[in-house]
Amino acid sequence: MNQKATYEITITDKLRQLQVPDMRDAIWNRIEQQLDLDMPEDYNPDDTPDSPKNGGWRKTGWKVGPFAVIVAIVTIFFINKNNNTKPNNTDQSQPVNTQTVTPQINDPTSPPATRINPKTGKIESVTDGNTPATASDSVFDQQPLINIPIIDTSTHAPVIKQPVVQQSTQPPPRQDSVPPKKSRGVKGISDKDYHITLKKDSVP
Amino acid sequence: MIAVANDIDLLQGCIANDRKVQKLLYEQFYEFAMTVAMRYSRDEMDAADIMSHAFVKVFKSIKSYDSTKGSLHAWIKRIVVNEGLDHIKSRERFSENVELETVDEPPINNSVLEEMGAEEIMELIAKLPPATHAVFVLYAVEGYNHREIAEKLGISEGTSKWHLSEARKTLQKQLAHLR
Repeated sequence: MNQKATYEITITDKLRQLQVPDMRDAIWNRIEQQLDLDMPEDYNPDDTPDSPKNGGWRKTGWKVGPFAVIVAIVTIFFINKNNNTKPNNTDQSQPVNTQTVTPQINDPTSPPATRINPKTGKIESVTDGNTPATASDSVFDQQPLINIPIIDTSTHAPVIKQPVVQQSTQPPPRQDSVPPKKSRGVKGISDKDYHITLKKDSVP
Repeated sequence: MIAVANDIDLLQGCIANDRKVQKLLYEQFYEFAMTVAMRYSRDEMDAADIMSHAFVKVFKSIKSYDSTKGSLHAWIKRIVVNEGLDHIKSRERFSENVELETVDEPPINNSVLEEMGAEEIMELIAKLPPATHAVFVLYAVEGYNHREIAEKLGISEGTSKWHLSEARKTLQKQLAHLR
């Protein structure tokens, strides 16, 4: 501190008596305007977002975290969807086997599988238990997958392909595709009735 | 009538950026801070500029206030004085070309000053050149010595002494005319 002269003390005392102009509100409006620009009321000076010390990452993490999770879920969903659609496309590239076979199986107008019993000469159904059903038949009878175009191939694709291959490699035509033979002759008369045998009394 | 709030409550509210509490603190310190601001200004508009800038700084940096190092009054006063000096510096550069070893002390008639009103004395001081005005107020009114003034203004002690001598000579001449 310095040694003030007498006149300097007088000046200081006089300045302390100075009436300040009433610009209270006008000045506060300017201050408030500047504060609203620099640090709006919802801004908390403690919330420095990048400051780990103040937990900034934790505070912003709850906002960013769910968004990141949603993005990850959507991404995984689309990746899986793409993986599912690719095998389906390959299946669609081979629709001939499945689509041509299926109507034959499902067609109710097609004649049932039959055969002629060589002993009796009667027409019998092949599904009477004497002729076992083929694997392809059993699969087609089940009809589990063919009518469903989009199926997870990771679990069902082998099931679809297997019957198609077996069906195409099976050499003999299906019995139901062969028209049943008409029985010749009069009903109730068999070959036995035409068989001529020597009787004991006719022998000389 | 403005309710006088506890300094601690005011500080906590201001740190939380509560606008109402900030206004309360401003209202509480308005007259005191405005009196200081007017010493460094030519008119009321200058003082208003100093006040608004100073209080924005107060609210922005209030978190750094340390009550163990001084009162809130002293802290706010320091900010207002620094803002006043910045305001003067923006009007005039402090010349380093003029220095004095010792300050001239021309005789000033104290009886004339005592008869003058506060506003008249304020006008006399405001007529001083800005740099001389700042040094005179810092030395004669605020009570700083030349070393402290030199640090505050970034000038040499000799330059501070020269500005004080110039202020005294100018005031002496003006008071002689009033006599």
